[in-house]
Amino acid sequence: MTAARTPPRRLPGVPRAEDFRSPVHDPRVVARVGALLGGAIVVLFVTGLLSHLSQNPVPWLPFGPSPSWGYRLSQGVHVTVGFACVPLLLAKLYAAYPRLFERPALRGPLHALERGSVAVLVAATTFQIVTGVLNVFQVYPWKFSFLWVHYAAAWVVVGSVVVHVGVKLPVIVPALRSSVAELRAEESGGGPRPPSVVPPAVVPPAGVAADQGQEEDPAQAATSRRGFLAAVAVTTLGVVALTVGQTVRPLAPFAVLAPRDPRVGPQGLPVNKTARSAGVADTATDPAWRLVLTGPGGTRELSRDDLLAMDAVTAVVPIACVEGWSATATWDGVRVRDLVALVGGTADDDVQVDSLQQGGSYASSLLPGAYVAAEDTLLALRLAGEDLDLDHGYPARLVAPNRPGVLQTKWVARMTVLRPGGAA
Amino acid sequence: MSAGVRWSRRVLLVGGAALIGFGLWTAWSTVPSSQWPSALVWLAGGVVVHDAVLAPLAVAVGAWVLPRVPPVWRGPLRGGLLAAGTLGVLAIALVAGAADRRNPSVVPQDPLAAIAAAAIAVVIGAVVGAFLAGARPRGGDPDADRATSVSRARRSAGPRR
Repeated sequence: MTAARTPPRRLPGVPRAEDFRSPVHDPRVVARVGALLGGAIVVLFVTGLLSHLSQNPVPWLPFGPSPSWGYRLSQGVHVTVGFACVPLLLAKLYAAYPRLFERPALRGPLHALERGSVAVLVAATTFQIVTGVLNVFQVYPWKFSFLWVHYAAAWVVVGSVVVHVGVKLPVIVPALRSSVAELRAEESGGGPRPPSVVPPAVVPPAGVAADQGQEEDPAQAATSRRGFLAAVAVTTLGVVALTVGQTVRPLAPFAVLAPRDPRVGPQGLPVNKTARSAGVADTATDPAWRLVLTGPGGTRELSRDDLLAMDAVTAVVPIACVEGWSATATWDGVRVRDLVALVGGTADDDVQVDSLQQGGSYASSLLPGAYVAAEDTLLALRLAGEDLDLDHGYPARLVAPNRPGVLQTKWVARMTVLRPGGAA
Repeated sequence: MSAGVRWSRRVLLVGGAALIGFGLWTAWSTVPSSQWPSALVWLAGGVVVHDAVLAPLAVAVGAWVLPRVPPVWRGPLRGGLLAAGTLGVLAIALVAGAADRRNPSVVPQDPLAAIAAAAIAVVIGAVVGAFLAGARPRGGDPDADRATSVSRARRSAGPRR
């Protein structure tokens, strides 16, 4: 332990890995924070993929209207876990930071490949978390399409996590098996190192120089490791507590860091796209508006009064945004399957729903037959007992359970019954 | 290295590389080439900002502050710095989102009041952490400058193994 008594030497510019002496950089800490972050990334990947597949359907995984809260849950989890990844990522990068300075910087082609994979991992993960957080706040200071870049980067992130786990497995396994409270060999007085403790190559030697020169007491080091892990846990839970209220309504008063409040918006419901930004403020309020229904039995045009005169149905259906916020609302309107029947369609047919909005990714949506058949799939005319607000889709909007908010088409102008082969 | 670990590594390396390959192929086939420069700048920018600014700052703050405070405060302050860094990231998004609201339901709260409330929560967390650290059993070691109450208790109980 003589090295621990040596006064810290001055760092001549770039430090070396062994200069970072804080016990927080211990592989047991790095592996535990990594396990949390890796688990979170898997959750993000799965929930993100669910959203992608519900917006870009594939035959082998059809989505349906049940459970009505499915999309709400998966995207609430996606964005909440994304927020939780901010402290987890900061903690992981900080704990593993000394590895950036390992010497020699490159020991050969395999080592270069390994370090390259870490660079990809750090770049892609940081990118994904930072741009994801900015996206839910609707801040876009870049010149690329968030949607497709986020999707492609997700595969790179999860792939580089898998590669990283593969590369580090010989370090991870013993690190996770040994308690953070155990003292390292040098901490416990230079005796023989217990076999469960990680190999010397990955343990920063104690007492060379300091990034935090206070950690010379061995038991203090164990306390520091546990304290850091506790701080990571508390901070992560704190971020969740201050954001999850955007989708868990009882916690809304605590959601000071969330981009949305599920109680705030016209008629007590948030809005993503306004009528003005969709360019429909005039056409949507035009008394000449008619819903154009087309199906195998022909075409019919219905005014809003015609629709209000039909069998009204009340449905309690959440609006759930891919950006993580969601809110349950009470809608009055006409069942889509009843409208489809007016033009010779059946509840098994798919329906294309077109908005008054001209252009834009979500100006129309395809409503699969499974949703058309559902009791709670409405062409909604009223919200919370009042006529729909213009920003909520007046004169009529689609509302279906377990469906991404962006596909709940607003300012509906036309509904077309599709038969196999694509013909109306 | 056991055979199990060796084979697990191979499967993970090949599987992970395939996933990365699919991501790159997806990017190549769906993201217009005109968007690549901006995406690459953001990819590299995150690493540079972290490795060259945030991490050195955190290390420097830790190296300067932690040795100057009583041991019970070191863990809570380190945790507080982590929480402050997290709050910093979210605060940037909050302020930017509020500055350019697309409609009144986006970031409906006053961002400065929200950040202040979260900052108070961070401070309270650090104080509670220090209280908990200080409330642990104390031994009789007079070396108050270098050791926590826990380490004192442990040392007074003899070597752990």
